[in-house]
Amino acid sequence: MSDVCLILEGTYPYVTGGVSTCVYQLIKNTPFINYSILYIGATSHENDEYRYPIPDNVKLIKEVELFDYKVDDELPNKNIELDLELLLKFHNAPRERKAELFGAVYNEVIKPLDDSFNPFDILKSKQAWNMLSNYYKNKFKDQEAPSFIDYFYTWRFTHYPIFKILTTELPKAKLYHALSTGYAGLLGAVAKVQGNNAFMLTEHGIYSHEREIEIYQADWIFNAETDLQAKSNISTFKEWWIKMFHFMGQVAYQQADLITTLYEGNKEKQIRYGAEADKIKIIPNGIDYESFSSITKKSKKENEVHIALVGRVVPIKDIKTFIKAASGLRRLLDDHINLKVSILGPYDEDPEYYEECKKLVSFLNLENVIEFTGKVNVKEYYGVIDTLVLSSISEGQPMVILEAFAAAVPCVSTDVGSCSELIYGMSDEDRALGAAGEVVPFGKPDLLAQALFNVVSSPDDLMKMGKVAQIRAKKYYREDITVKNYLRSYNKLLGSTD
Amino acid sequence: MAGIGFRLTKYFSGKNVWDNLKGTIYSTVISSGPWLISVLSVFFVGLYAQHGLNRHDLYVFKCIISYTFAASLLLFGAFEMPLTRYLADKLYMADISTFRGVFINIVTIAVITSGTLGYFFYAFFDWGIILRMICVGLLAAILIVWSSMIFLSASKNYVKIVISFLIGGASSFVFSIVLGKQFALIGYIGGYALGQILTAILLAQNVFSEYSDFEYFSLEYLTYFSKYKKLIFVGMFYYLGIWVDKFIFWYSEVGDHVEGLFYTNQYYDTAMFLSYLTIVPSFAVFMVQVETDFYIKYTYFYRAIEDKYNLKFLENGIEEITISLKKTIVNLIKIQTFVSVICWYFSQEIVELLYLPSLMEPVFKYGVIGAFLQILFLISNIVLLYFEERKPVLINYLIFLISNLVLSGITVEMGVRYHGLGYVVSSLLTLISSFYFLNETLKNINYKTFMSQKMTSENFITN
Repeated sequence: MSDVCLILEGTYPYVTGGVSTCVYQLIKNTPFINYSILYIGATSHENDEYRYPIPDNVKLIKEVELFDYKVDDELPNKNIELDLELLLKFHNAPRERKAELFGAVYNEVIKPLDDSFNPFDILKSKQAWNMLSNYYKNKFKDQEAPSFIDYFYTWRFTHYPIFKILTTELPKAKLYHALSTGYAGLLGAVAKVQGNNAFMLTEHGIYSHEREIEIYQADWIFNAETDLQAKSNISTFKEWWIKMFHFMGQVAYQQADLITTLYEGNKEKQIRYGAEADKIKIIPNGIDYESFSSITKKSKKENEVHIALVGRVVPIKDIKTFIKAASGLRRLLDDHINLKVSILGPYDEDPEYYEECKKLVSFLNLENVIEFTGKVNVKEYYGVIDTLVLSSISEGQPMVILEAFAAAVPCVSTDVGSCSELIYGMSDEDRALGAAGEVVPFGKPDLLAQALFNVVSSPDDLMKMGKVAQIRAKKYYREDITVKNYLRSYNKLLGSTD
Repeated sequence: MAGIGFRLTKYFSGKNVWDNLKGTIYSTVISSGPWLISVLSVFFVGLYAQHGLNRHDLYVFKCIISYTFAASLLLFGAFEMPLTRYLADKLYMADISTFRGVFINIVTIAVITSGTLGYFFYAFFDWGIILRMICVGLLAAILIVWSSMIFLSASKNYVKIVISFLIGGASSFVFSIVLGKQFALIGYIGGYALGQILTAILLAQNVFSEYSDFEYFSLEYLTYFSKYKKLIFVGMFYYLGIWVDKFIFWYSEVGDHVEGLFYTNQYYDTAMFLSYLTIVPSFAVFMVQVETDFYIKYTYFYRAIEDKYNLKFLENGIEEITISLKKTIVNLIKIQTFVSVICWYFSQEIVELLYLPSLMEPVFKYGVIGAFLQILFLISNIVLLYFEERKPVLINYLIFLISNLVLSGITVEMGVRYHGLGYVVSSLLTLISSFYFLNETLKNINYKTFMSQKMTSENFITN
């Protein structure tokens, strides 16, 4: 039995990012704690490489593949006894009530399944079909009823992964720590309702919110275009997905003994999405301050401005807005000033988006200005760049800003997540330090360009902001502080005093 | 940011519902044709040969033909449906490049099998090489005929099939009369075989002209035998069920030993074959109604699913299919009742008209009822196959095979008055079971169509 079971979805050790870094820091700096990891991936990761080292105190890594199915065409011939009354009550209940009923549904429907039985057969049973079709008939009037095949597949695609989670065997541990809501949070809730285990939930970005944005933009969810009826803006099926993620979040919030997040703004969102305020504690990210503060700054070249965006080339980072802003900055700057723009981060995740970005670059005639470097060691850039840029439409508490700050690089960012807190300060004492850059609304390339111009056009200001940034990082965002905070939470939950 | 991002791909990966179902359609209706043709052949040849041959040779003649047909259908039953499925799938994908190769392959197998089987079987007979070769040739020819029919009916080439059969059948008749006068038994059987070989050649010729390209040689069709194992047994059980009561009447104490391994019965099989003819009109009606009514509603339903109609619409579609089927069955019962009652009532006259022994009359009467029931269960099972319900069909045909075996065995013991009753009761049992499954299927079309859709991780693109 391990001390802490970390429930990780799409993050450490396979995917790089803020949560992964935080998890790695935590494990590395607490060698006296035995960890087991339950990794939730999309499909099999057998052939993937670990992106982080695995410290010795990780005793077990178990993987669940959410979307690995082989649903065959055989229908179950076993009659399945389901508590239909409870299930109907559960499905018809409003969200909060649904989350309350979750424990009962889990313990009465899922838990009693014996090993000889393929749990997915429930989803293929006649009872499931009857529930599904009756639910459909009750929900929609004839003329307004949406495509049934889309309804059916939305049901399948939403329910199969959940079922996979519900039937996952958890490694034994004293404490379950989920690093997001969604499927990881749901599994944490399972740990809680299964044996009243201690369950801690840490949410960097607000998962339900991020998913909501994704779903609004998604083209893979069936839109009922054939409907003649005037509909509300969102299709039934998008709504279904969103509800599903909100429900999962709600369950996790309700079952968690302690919820932590990075900054005040997130806490407010969590409360809005159903978390109890007094369960929430703020633990900001921290970085290895010394390794960044020791970067020696190269002296600034005359007549050159070098800005960089650190991040993956994916839609949520809104690279396109950044490219447009770079074009705007080019126009604002004097012609004799040489503008260099680096986009530091892997671009293989969403090749289609990357291609679009490259087209935009050539359309704006910026081929000689903007470089896509792919994955690089950012430390090599922090010594030379004037400012860091973030154009994301959604962020939590970006590690890259903290790292840049430690290296005395200011930042111009969109006003998402905790970026504003980072750049202007989170408390009065903090704000008194001064601004470490500028913040603009997201999706506004002109404003971003102007802000960039403001920051880079005066070398003195630039220097001052860099100083503020470095002090702020040192004072509030150090990894040892973060780790101590998490450790304190663990101990509190496990009832020991330390 | 933690969390898994993903998108979904088309849910029907590759082939869609409609593609899958299309496969069974062409041939299931046709699949029951061969036994009718075999019945007719055996019957007419038996009629005309009885004046030109002595009693023993007549029995030998009849046995050669009956045994050959029985063997050919049992062999054919094993590969008919998987092969049909393969051809229909390929045809739907408009890829016929392998057909010629597969056909040559099948013909080769047919010839080798016939040769091997004939070599061992006729080793128990004290015959000359020519007669043995004729018998082997006949079996090979008939196997090729059945196989060609799958290829030709898969392309819905009914006219060519009929013309080939008419020419071949007429030649069989003429050749056997002409040669029979000169060479007696060998002449009759040789002439008959020549006609069948001609039919085989004509049909094979049609297959070749229909599928002229020989692009490459593919053994892909063999995978259909593992993919659709149930279909192998569906075919075998059905044909075995049809023949098993005859076998019992040949080999039990009511049968007569003819020569070598040949046994026969003086009245049972001929009377039964005669009664099978009474269901020809019904079957024709069924085929027409299926093509013009049921099939249209059936395709409409599956198209409606993919065209994203709502559940109410789909349920109406199923209701229409059910109504259409009921109408077809009621019509069929009406027509068949009329035909059966007339045949029953005039059974004595029919038997006398055909110069058949009067002993056949009671068997014929049972046969008329049994055939009535059989046509009903046959069409029920064809419909079940339309809905990909292979398992129920397998169970039905297994019931038919076992009950026909057991009950015919019992009626042999019970005495001559009951001969044929076993087949009637067996058909009734099979019909009850078939109707039960048909009803269940129609009630659960939506459930099964949706819930049995396969799903793999390929339905999700993850990122």
